Amino acid sequence: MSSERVQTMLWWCGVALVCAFAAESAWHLEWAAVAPSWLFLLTALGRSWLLAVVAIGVGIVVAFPLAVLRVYGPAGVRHAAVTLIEAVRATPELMVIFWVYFTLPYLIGTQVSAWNAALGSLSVIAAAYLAEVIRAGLYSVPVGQIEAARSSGLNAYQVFRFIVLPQALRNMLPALIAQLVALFKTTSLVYAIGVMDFFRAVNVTKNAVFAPYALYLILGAGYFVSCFAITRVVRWFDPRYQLLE
Amino acid sequence: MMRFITALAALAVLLTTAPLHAESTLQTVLKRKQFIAGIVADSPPSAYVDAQGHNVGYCADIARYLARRIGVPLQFVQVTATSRVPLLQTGRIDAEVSVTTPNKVRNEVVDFTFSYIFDNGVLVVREGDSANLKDYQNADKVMGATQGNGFVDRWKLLSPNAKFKLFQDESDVVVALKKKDIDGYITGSFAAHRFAKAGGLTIGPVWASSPDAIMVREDDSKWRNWLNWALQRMWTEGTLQKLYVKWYGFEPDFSLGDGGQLQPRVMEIGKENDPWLALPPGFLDKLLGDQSYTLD
Amino acid sequence: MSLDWSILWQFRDALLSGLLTTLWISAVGIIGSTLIGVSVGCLATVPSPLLRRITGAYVELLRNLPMIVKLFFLYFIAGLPAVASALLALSLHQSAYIADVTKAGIRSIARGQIDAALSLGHSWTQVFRYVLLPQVLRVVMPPMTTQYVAVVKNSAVVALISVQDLTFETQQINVETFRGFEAATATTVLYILIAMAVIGTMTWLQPLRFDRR
Repeated sequence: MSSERVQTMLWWCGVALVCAFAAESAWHLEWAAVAPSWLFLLTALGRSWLLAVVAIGVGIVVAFPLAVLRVYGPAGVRHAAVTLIEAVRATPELMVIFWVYFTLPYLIGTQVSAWNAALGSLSVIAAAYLAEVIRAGLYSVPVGQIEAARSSGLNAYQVFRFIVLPQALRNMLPALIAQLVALFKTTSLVYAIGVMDFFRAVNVTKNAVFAPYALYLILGAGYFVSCFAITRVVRWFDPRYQLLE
Repeated sequence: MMRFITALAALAVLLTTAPLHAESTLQTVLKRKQFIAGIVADSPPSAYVDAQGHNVGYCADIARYLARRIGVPLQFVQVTATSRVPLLQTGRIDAEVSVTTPNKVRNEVVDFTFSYIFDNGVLVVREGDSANLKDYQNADKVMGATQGNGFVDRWKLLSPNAKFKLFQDESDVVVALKKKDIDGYITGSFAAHRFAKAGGLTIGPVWASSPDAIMVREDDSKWRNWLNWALQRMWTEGTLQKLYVKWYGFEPDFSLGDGGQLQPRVMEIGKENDPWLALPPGFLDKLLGDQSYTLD
Repeated sequence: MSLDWSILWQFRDALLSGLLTTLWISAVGIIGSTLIGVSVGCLATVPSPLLRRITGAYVELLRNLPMIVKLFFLYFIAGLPAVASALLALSLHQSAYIADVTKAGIRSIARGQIDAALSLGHSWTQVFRYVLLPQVLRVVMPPMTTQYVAVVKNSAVVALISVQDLTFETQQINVETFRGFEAATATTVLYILIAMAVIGTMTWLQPLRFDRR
């Protein structure tokens, strides 16, 4: 047998062993105590998903003009964009969430629910990180193509729209999806302002029934399965992608 | 970077000079026609969330009663230990009806009503370990508790050089106790009995009593007065005691108010700043039964 | 609502000790994650299907779990002491991303160099040590900076298992005095300063060369 086949067999044997061991240890946990809360936990997981997806959507819409300004804008605007992006990226996400929740009511005059504040702050975080991803995508298009396009008579807008943008979008797709995964993990922080996301739901259940080991496992499994599903979806879009982040 | 700091400073100035609520929260609630109560979700049986996500518990029922007496609908806002004070100060909630322990330093920032829960502090240890308090009042033992627990300060009075490990959830402290990372677990008797069911733990004697009160904004006398009158009236009616039995399983081992003396003439309804509507028929029965969460 | 900034002065000892804890935990996390991550990243480029799968599974597993879950698993389930769990969780978490960055960096260097070195009889270890890493470490410095800043921010999570870092002390100030806004502002500024220090140090290290000329 070739070395490659031996190695593949070794791998799958190892995987089977690990799965068997994990299943055996998990069998003896306190699942009966946790069972009544399954719907509560599932809805909370759905809420985390909703937060992540909406925040990414709004984030992309905001990040795009921000990134374009950062790359192509006049000097003053460029510096403002850089400051904004870097300030948000340097601040711990928990602080961004707190700031938005407690100061937004003052800025817009009306009260803001925890859910809306969570969406807002996650969108702000998403926008800052996505702006950097888009910028990297814009830079990834070879300069030679831009120069060739300009010299063959296309104006700046046409170059951007037909040469840079399509390639940039394709190049940045894996990194964009990586941000979705990262943002999904960041949604766990909104527990601090009272939103019943998956993390908080697991904690609340932990306080109601004493089954910590089963619940820690559910916590890990919920996040792992969700994030893994996202990366699998990317594979479906682009089989050759390398997750670079 | 400088721009960010400047923005931060501007925000700080803005918040410092923001207009204080000139009118009492009582007027705000009546005008808005809604009572927004802050409540935590992780403190059974005082304030927690059931498997379907309803706010239930002793505090939740009290909030429902209060809303009915004012005559407005109730809205719950779930708060956490970190968010409860900023939410109160920015006016997002009208009162925090949960398990906050008054202390002097906190009283500089917010105001408290009469205490309406008295939680007995116990020491929880691993089965087989000594349950004698004196054994733990030295610097060799590491005590565990949740951060912000009112009993931590009281334990430090007994044992000034005590070492603490503070966690976010009660069940985290229990796991830490079981894996021998801490020697003793300081908590209230409600939490202790809940976790003792898991086995392997011994509950020690009661060594302190920690009050919990409703938290309101600083200098809001009319609102705080009304809440105090409401609590005293509930006590006179016997409703407060019945709710206590419903959730905690025993009669209150304290007397509400100034050392048990209710204010004379507290049942007289005032002409202004004292809304006290009659309860709808059947409300009290539902409140004291299992379906109280449907009364929102 | 009036702000009382003097609370920060009153709690200066707690804040300072929290800051120091955050600093040394982040430093160890940065070193640990780099050592583990670069090793895994190098292993991922060796053309062995078994190694590829193992490193791939390692990266997938660690990247799809939030830092909190790893921390809880190490402390509550595996039963390690608090500081060890914190350092291990922090290192493992970031090592997955650093492994990817390293792998990308190695891929970006001409394949020909590796083939040439191997055909000259060098072992894989020698190839990594003398040919690849000196070049790769220079190339990956910008993405590494992002990872190191992430280590600093992720270190805030260790407050949940009672490691008394800056975030823990902030929460302590909040529950004792209810002056959370002042404490949160101070902490935010401190975290930003630490992040800036990390970025500054990496920028200053940029011109370093790892190959001996």
